Amino acid sequence: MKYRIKFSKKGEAAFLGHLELINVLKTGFRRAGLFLIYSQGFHPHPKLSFGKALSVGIESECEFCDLELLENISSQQIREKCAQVFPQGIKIKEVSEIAPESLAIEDSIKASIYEISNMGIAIDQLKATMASFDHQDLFLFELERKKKSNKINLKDYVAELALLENNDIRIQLLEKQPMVRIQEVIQALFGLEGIELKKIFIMKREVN
Amino acid sequence: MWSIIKQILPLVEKPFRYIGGEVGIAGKNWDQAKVRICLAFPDVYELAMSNTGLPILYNIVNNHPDFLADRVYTPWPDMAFQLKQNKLPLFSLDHKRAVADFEVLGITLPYELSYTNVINILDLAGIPFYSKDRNESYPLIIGGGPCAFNPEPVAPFFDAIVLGDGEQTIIQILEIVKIVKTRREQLNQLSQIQGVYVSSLGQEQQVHKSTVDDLEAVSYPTHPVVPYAAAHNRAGIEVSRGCQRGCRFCQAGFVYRPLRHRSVATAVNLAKENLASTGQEDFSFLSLSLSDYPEFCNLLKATQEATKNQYVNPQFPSLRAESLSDETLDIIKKARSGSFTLAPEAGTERMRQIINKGNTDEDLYASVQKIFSSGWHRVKLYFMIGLPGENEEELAGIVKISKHCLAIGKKHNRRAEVTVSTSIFVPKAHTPFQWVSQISMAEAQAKIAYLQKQLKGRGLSYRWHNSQMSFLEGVLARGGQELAPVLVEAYKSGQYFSGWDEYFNLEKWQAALSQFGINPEQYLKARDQDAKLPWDHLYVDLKKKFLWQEYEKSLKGQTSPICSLSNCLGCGVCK
Repeated sequence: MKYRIKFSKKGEAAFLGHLELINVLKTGFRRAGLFLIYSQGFHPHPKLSFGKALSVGIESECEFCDLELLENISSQQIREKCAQVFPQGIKIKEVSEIAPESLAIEDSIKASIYEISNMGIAIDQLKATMASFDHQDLFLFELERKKKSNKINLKDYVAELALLENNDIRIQLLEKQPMVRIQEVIQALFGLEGIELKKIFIMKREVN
Repeated sequence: MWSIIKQILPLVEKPFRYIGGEVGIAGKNWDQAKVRICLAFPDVYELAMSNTGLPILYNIVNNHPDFLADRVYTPWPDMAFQLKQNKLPLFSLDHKRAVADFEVLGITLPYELSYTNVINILDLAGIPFYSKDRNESYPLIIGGGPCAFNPEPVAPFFDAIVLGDGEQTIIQILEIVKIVKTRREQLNQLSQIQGVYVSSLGQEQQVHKSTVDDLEAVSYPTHPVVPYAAAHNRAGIEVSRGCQRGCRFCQAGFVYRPLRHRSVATAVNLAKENLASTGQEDFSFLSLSLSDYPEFCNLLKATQEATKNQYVNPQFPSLRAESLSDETLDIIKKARSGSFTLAPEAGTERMRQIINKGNTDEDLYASVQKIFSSGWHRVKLYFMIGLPGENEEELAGIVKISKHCLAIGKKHNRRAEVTVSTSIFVPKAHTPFQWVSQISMAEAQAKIAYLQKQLKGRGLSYRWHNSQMSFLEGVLARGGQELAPVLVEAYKSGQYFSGWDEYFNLEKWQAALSQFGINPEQYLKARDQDAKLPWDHLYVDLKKKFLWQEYEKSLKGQTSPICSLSNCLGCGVCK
């Protein structure tokens, strides 16, 4: 049976890298006593799949993992078994049974909504930057990738840019190719770089 | 504290090293504990979490109603920089409390090259380095672990050092700290405990190591902390402590005598509980010589039965293959491991008699034959260079054996591989070789260069240990308290994480040594029988006479039998 797990990765756990996260989930499901299906071969691995890796330090309310189990148990039972098995900051929010041929996690996400705080930018300046972004049709940004650099129009990616009541920023980022990271969006919009960019708090609130 | 830590974690590599909160932490209430101890491993998280000694103590302390144990490891230099930059004290992983807030700081001493990491921990915690400069407003600093058997180079930094098994000693220490509040009186009372060395009371006191008589009677973790990442990420079950072999170079084989075991039933239960609570796929039975476990085959069969259908993978770090039955090999074969490690230790039978690891070349080839024919395609061979009395024959022997093993392998598998690694012999305290000389760096480099040249070809690869590090290890392993200021100086010049190639710089160490007029070569020289050794006042129950006899036998190439009741060599450990 195949299941899609939605979980949060918050607080301390935001600082786990992707490899550590896989380890935490794999051992966690084993601690929960779930019978994972393993790949065949010399080094069998449990059949777990993930979406796009979340950058270290970003908190998220909406991470996903698909797992395949030998047994046919209800989503509710999986939630109960997994209630106490993860380190602080990792929490299962939803479990749903999915068809074996379901769309991969990555392909089923159209947009991600982020909330950004601790930018160290005065409110007036934030507002001005946002207004100027709103008024433009073209906001070019050069993506630096290993092989080549790629000019994209950020307007095609940012579906929403809003100021929240607590003065945090909300960005809805569309998932499309070439892929753009949320830190790159913030860098492009607000001119933050280096340590300043690393120090902001990012929360991935929801996906759709 | 977390709100501040959270601000600097984005600036460091692998921030998971500092977040704590793993599955298996004790989570005790800070305020309700009467005495709090922070257990420290002086190296980076991934190595610290591969250690199985501190978790035993963590478990025992946290199971006691009055006491609390937390953890701290040496931060990687990038994190150390951020802590200093932001004027943050070194903090514990579980409670995120400043290390200086604990009543006791217990630091294990796993290897000599971690000594300056100990100083780094004290430095980042804001604790004066020397015991004499601290009063009861600072934590009581306790040392222990493998290097405690000659702790003199670091002794002045510690208030007390525990020799031997810590299971009972740690509780005795915490009981004293619970009641006695002045540092002077604490030290006086600590010195009365078996196995506790209080260096400030001088070297006149005789200290005898503490020994747990019955492993079954002391508790072993069933729900250990599960690492986010570790060099050895597996559940480890200690099945034996001590060794009956008496290989003359091996410090562990002497200082951890007598040989004690956990029963098959206990070991299997511990394996089951550890695998269930950690969710690990890999596990290992820990012992200095696992194939000597009295019911090794039964242990494997029982474990296999208890863990079937669970995708559990036993790992066997190194086995004496000559003693493995076909049935045992058959079980081990099922473990998903690509390579089988063997430790012939030396290149000729003559040298194996000198070091009392008296296996023959024929034994070895027969084992290798069995291993390749059972389906393994890679054999790892581990040798030492620089053993006492070594000459060209031993080096040629390493080459001959390695090539012959590969030839055996190729008969079974075209893709057979032999990986050879060498370390440099470093004489250690409380062994029959504590009096012998260590080879110089130049000699070691020449030997390594020879092997590099010879051990080439398809299927053959060669790895060697850094000769400069072995040199420094040799200095520290047999040094005395005069090296303490050298360690401080080396630390101040930036030398910590000295066991790591990217940070090790011998020139800085040499500068620190020469600043105190110390010629490091003197530590590598042979000692006379009646020479005063820095650890003469520390007893591991072995008679010095016995060690000397073993040394003399080695000179004649005579071996000693495995110790047993019917064949007692009178080492002095059994009462």
